[in-house]
Amino acid sequence: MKKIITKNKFFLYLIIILSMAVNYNFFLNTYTLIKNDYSKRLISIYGICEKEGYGFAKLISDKYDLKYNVNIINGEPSLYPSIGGLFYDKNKILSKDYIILINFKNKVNKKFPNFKIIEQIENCYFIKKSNND
Amino acid sequence: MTEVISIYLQFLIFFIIFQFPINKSILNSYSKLKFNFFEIITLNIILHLFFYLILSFLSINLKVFFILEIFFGLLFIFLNIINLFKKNRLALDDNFILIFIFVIFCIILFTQIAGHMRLEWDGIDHWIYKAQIYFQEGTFADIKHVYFSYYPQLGSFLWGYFWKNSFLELEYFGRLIFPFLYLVGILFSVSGLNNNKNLLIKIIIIIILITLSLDFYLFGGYQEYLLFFELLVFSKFFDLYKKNASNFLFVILFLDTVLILWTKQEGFFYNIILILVFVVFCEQKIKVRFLFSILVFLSLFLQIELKNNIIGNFNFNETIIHEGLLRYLQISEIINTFLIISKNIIISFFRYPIWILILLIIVYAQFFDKLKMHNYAKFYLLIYFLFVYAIYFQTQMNLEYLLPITIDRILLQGSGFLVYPVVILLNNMLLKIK
Repeated sequence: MKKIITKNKFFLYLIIILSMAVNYNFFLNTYTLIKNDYSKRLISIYGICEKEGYGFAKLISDKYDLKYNVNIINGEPSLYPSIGGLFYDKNKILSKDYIILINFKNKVNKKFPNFKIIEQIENCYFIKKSNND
Repeated sequence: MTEVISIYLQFLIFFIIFQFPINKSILNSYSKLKFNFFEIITLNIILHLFFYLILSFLSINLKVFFILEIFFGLLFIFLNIINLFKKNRLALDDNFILIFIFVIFCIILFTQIAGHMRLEWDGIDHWIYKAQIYFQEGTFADIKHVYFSYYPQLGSFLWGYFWKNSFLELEYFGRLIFPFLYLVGILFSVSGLNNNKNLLIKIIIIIILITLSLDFYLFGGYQEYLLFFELLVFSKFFDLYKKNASNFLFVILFLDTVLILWTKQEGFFYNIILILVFVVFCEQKIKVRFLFSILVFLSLFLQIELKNNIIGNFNFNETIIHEGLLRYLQISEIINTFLIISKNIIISFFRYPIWILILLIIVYAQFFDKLKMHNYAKFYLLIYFLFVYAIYFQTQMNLEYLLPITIDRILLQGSGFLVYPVVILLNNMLLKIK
């Protein structure tokens, strides 16, 4: 009798654990982790040139190897915060000469008349102050 | 696959580190208090967090500190295993199964965070800057260069420290400490019930608490669960302290208030609430109450001084006394503000239904049960809601904008203190049903 109760308890605990695992998508998440690497997931979460625009900011960061922290402005500030924190380097100062614009649907030349566009993908821009050429 | 294995290893790191400097043998040698596994791990966490707080001000090699932590953690695990076998049989009591459940829940939560590793608004907007500073081996002095430099740094230090000391050095590994502490807190509040009988009731309570208080959004860089954990710890250890006037618990309670102070700005006000709770309900001599108050006030002033001298300012988001308060000379303004705050509080109860549980249990116990809620918890509840109303009466910001995005989080962190008293009542009720 004691054995049956112990066995039943074991199955009860097992069911509880399994249901919690399924409830919090443990198996699906493990599958996602194995299938998609970190950078792929970052892009799927923050977008390339949409949402926070991680993909574009990462492209600029890798391609230009900047010596400054660059101000990243999201054109939809009420929907998305700036992704700048992911690229912050404590040893670099914040540059006033470079800006990354994400989701920027306004005319860049009008809003930033003293800047020239260095890189553009859709509504994302990497701009630099003109008099620094 | 490497990432999945690293997540499990990250859990092992947390588990190993928080096995020292206290274990059962040491406690039995120096103290009359008997603690279970989760109480000991919580004591260790409080001590470690206090050391982390000190480290966050210093410029020392954190890698060396981390290796030392792992070394001593492993040593203590080895000693604990020897102690277990000394009794000629393994002590396979309830706690062993609870530890197993704790491991499973940690893995589930860690995997969820890894799968949806999104940093939410406050996390990416300001908390990550401080975490980056510690990840890049910076110090407290570097904080003055980032946004919201006047926000406390303990949570960000933990984030940066475990981010740096993880196998893959990926950002979200640092944040895994928050679900770990949250789960330790939940298990800590439940583990001491029923003298290790009725394991099923404990598991049911754990699942109820997690289901009603868990929000993955807040693991996206917010500090709420750290504060939740610290308040929960204060509540249970305060209850133990009332029963056993132990100097060790006195120190732990004080250290916990220091941690609360350096977790979020609200910590300043929580400290004042906790002084009141301690002074009114600790049932100790006046000099003990006085000593606790003085120590906490000293730590408040120390924070002001440190921030003024190193960061250059000690701010809250707004000045506390301002001309805008004169609007409350009109009674209609008081009534309107009160109604708006109350409406949003009620809405937030549904966002974090742990509050619905708390209120239902309190009302049931008060009117239909012999076992009433502890007076210190009722007192906290009263002062806490006064504090919540005071925050929003004081602000000059538009309440229609501010309340929906902030009050739910304030309520969640504050509920931590009430979890333990509610768990006792809930356990009592479930035992009766059984």
